[in-house]
Amino acid sequence: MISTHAPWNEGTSNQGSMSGTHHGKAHLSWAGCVLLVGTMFGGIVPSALADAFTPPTKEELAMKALDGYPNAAAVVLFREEITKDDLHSVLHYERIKILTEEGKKYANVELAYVSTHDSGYDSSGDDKTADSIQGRTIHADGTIIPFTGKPYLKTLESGKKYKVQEKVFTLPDVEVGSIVEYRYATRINDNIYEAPSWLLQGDLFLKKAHYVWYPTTRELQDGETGALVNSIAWFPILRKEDHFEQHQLATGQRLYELSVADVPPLPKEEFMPPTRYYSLRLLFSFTQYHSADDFWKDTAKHWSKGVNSFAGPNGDLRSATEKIVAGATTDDEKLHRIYATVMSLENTAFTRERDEREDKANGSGKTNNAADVLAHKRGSPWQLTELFIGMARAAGLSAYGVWVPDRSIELVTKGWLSTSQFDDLIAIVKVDGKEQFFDPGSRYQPYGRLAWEHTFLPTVLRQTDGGTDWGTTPGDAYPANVTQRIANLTMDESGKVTGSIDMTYTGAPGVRWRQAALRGDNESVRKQLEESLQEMLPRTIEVKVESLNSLDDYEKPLVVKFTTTGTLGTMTGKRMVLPVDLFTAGGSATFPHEKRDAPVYFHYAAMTRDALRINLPKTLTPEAVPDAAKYSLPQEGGYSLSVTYSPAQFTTRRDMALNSILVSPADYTKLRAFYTQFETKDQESVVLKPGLATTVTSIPVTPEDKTK
Amino acid sequence: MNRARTEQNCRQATVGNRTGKQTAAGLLCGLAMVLSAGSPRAMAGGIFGAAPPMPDWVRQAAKQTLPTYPKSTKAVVLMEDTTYTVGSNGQAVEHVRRVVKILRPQGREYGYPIVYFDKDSKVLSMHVWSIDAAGHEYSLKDSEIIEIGHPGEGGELYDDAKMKVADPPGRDPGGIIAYEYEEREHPYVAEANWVFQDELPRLNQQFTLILPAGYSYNTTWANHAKLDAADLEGKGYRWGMTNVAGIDLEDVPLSPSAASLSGRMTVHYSGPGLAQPQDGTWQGVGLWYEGLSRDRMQPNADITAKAQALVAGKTDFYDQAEVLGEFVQKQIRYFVIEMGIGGDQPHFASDIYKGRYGDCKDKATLLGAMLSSVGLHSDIVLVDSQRGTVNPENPSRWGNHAIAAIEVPAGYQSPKLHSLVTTKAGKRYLIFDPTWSDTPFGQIEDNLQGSYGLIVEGKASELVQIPVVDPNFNTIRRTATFALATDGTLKGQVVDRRFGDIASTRRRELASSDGHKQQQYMDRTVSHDLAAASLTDLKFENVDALDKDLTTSFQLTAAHFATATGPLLMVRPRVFGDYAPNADRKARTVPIDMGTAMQATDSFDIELPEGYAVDELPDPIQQDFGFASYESKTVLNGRVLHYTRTYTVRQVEVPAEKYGEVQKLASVIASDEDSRAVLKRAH
Repeated sequence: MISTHAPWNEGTSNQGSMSGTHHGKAHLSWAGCVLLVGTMFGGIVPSALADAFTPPTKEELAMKALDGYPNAAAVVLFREEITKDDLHSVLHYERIKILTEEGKKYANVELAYVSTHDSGYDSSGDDKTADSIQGRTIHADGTIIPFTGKPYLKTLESGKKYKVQEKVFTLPDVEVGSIVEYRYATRINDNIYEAPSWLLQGDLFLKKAHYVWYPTTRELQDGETGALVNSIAWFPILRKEDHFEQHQLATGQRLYELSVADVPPLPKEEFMPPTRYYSLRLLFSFTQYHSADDFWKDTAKHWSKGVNSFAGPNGDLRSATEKIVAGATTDDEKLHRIYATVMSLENTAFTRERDEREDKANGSGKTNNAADVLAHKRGSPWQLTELFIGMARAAGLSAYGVWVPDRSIELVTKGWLSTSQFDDLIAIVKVDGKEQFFDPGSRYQPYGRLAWEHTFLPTVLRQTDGGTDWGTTPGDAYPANVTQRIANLTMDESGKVTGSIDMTYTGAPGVRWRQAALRGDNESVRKQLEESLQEMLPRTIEVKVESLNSLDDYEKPLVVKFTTTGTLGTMTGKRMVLPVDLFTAGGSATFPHEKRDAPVYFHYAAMTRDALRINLPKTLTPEAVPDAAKYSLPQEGGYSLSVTYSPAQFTTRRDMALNSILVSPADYTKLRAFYTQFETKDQESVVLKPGLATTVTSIPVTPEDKTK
Repeated sequence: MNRARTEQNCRQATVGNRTGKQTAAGLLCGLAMVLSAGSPRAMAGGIFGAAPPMPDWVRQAAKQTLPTYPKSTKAVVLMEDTTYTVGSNGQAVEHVRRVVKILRPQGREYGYPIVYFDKDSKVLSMHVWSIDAAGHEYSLKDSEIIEIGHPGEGGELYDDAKMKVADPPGRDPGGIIAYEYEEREHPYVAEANWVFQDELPRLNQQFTLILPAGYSYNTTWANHAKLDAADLEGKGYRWGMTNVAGIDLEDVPLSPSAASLSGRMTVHYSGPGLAQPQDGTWQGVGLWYEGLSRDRMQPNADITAKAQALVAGKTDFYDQAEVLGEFVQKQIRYFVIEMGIGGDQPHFASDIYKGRYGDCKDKATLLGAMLSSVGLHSDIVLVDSQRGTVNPENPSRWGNHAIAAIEVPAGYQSPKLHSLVTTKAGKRYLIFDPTWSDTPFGQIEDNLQGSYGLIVEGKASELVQIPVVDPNFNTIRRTATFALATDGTLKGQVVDRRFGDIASTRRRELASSDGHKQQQYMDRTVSHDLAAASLTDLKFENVDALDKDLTTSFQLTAAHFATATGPLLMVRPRVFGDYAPNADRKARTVPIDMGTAMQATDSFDIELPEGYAVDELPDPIQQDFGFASYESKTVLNGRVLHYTRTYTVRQVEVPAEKYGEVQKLASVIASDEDSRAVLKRAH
């Protein structure tokens, strides 16, 4: 079990973060897919794929199932990928055993590639092709049916200077028990070199795979910076048994080789962390740097320069900021005003980015700096954060940019020398001498709070007074993210209930609904809120939003009032049975599976607090109510439920909090037991019997029992 | 083009750009992603010339005062003007002007002008303009219009359908998006469709037909009374409409398809030089498709040999047809390759057999070839995968799917022929869909039941209504024997048997899952009702044997199933599973789609724990609404609580006026499913 205080350790690799460093070799280029422009080079294209198909073994032909994976649709018997830089080609070979009817779909092959792309590196023509396609089907009796058809060429998308295409084909006469195999080559332009990315895990079990890279020996330049590239870096997430090595041939040619066997498919389970956290892979890069530190130092420098250049502040921004903070006496007061100003601007992540024509038509011109963002009254999340930094600096505060990943997608690993791991910009500002984090690019995020995607990050890049440095981001424990659900209902003698439900969203749940309103409108968010509540309640209850309070006031909890009508409870002749907690009546088991392969991943620590009061008609009175209960998941979660009652009403109070965001498979059993325990408690009932009630004093229903 | 997209939505017939627009919203989500993801690139390319000035018809349309629309209205079509011009060579050109006003942020998705085309149709011109909410006008350069190909999914490997699309400025609430295009239509079509109703309300629209001398036309209408055209005195014929309401089914439970409700007009025309003239009859449509498909159904020696081998030893018609039907159903991979006319025309049976793959019309064609090679006869049936889309009043090519009608020999009788139709000529056909891989031979999938389909047989082509299956042949039968412990834990053996089309969802799920996922699937099915369930000894039988019960059995342990409340122990006799239809409390204006005719029965025994006696049992329920019925009963047999229930659906479509009864049905079932037996601790 991992708590919110220390969710991750650096690196998820079984073999450390960067073996390239250990080998004393070079390190990274921009992103795994960066293109590098080589010196002039004569095109050498292999005329044919040299290797013949592999003859099937008796075991392969006879194979009917995969041990440990009953009813698996298919299995990859062998995959090979050989990258030969100086031939500008990658040779691919795939052998798949079809085990079920469903598995026949693996005989359909789609090879997508960018055939033309005005990337800035090269716009001279085709970037990539897929050709030399050969294939065959082998029946279980050994009969071979060669693929004699012609692949179809599809254009997926095309514009003036780019085209994305796909070659598609299907292997013939495929039966359950067949082996389908195909080879093809992908090729890129003669003056482009692309380091390979070997992604090992997919939806099929991989029995054996072999990857080889023959990197070019030519002198290369980085396509963006023009710097000489003299090293190769790689980032592995591999198992101990996976065999990766470098060789040097007698010709001087260096090659990298990876052999793996028995690679399981990626698990697919509910509440999974992003697969980019842990799926097996080996990613290479060309690089001009001699160490990871060099790479990140230079990269951070360029990034920081870009932030400072845009954020400024320039004269316009200083002048605008002065007016905004005029009269403010403390750093905190100044920054509150600046934050409120930025939050009031349109965040185009929730609306639409405008093109230059629209800016021109509106008289606003190009957006060259943070002052322009303020003037145009809108910006992207990144631009709004830069504006916030610029304004804070203009107000005399020390403000820093922080380059962060989105942890709903991935985390940053220093061993992978790629800026593609980063997604967003947040800010640190020194307020009255103390550094505080801000997320002005996430609209309606409360002052001093981060979007959950930016919390608990173990590795971020940040600006400092002296330059840049690595850092972490803070996060919130469960009290910061609370959903409070209060129902106050009255039942009449026919079983009809009317009343109100008040939902109060604090922290991340409130931001979620506020941002939903930004993406749509008041009408759509009301509908979504009603649907969300309706899913929790018994089907016989209908709700309607009566009011939405503080939708724009991000510093306050979002309060939604619903009116409620319908019927409740089940008659059993002389008794009526009611769910003990309306809000959990429509729930399903969160973790129905006893076994778990992947870690459990929650977005953020959170708490729900319920208070339900049902005022009863005179004809009914409580006969029996569930016993009070308290359960805990040590250090990580807690639950309590209690029911108080009088002849004329009963009140249920329920709290549930979870402080974990990442739970390892080893701790799954404990987590499931906790959930099972309280979810079964949630399904208990209040039993009413005929009776004459007395009138009781009305006390407002709250999550706390004030009768005590 | 709305062609094959998935196995469940295989299409045989394309219906031109009108239909493309009708369903454009569905594509726009994906498109929006494409455009936003690649917007710098998207704005950089194109194939035509410079931006034309904004025409006055755009400004005029934008000036209109809107009537009051429901709050949920996302956008409105201010104007749509279509001119369909047939040349003297029979080739048609469609010219369209369309202006849309975005009313809500969600309406932005309607602000992407889209024109569909393929290798046999050509976009001759396309221009896009917009006016933002502040009134600024924009004209897009031709280079800002990009092309997107069909991505392919669900077995659709290659389709030459493409679209031209743009992302104009001002695509915000209050913004106006206008476009105009001219497209040369397919040369093999003598039919034009005017779809004048879709999810958006339409303020003004008109359709103009221009025919060359010597041509004649007639019209057929779906979901709208026939309107006469204004004769433009030698310049064509024009139909116009104002203030047509949108069809908003977004929040309508048990809703029929929008296509089954939307108004459309089909123009059929004929004249000298037309290869495939249309006369506005179903026979005419059948003749057209007969010409495309009949010669493709010829068996070759390989097909004949295979068919004869498969029927060897079988003398009964049903047995022979079944083995061939199942061969095509199971052994021919669903796989789409469509180019131009290939959207309508099947491949040759010999090619389909050789490659062992094909789409829906290919499968129906190969089945026909195999049947004919053993002396049986079948025809292709043109249908739509959404019930109600093919409208008897509207003979046309509308539809997206092809199935088979197997002629039943005169006098032949069998209780296995569930999906049987009889034509006016007295011929009997067994309707079968060889594409639907999990529905047993003799039945037809639920969405086609009650639908109309055109049996293609030359001049004898006839529209027939596909029967609704007898609920007794589409069944779920669950039995269980449990023992309840004093701590509330329920343990026992569950057997779930499913037969007919209703088993297809589970068959498909199981077939596509490995053992781990199968376990997860079943865990989830009981987790809706049991918070602490454990399923062990999970077994499946007859997953691939469609003519047998799909049987699922498992040991169920559910901790805390019965809950102690004071001295009482509350027990839910139905244990798990829910059948209540999803009805809301709103007024109903559209028909109710019940999904499928079926019957589900549960028979559960729960042995009570020692020390407890029954204090109360739920009341028995018996309700019959004609279109569906529900009954349940809980009785005590000694120390065993015996719960039985039967839910029967007899009609797949119920008129809107009966929604009150559907609500009552839903309420009765939900109440029964929540009911408890009350046990009391014995003194």
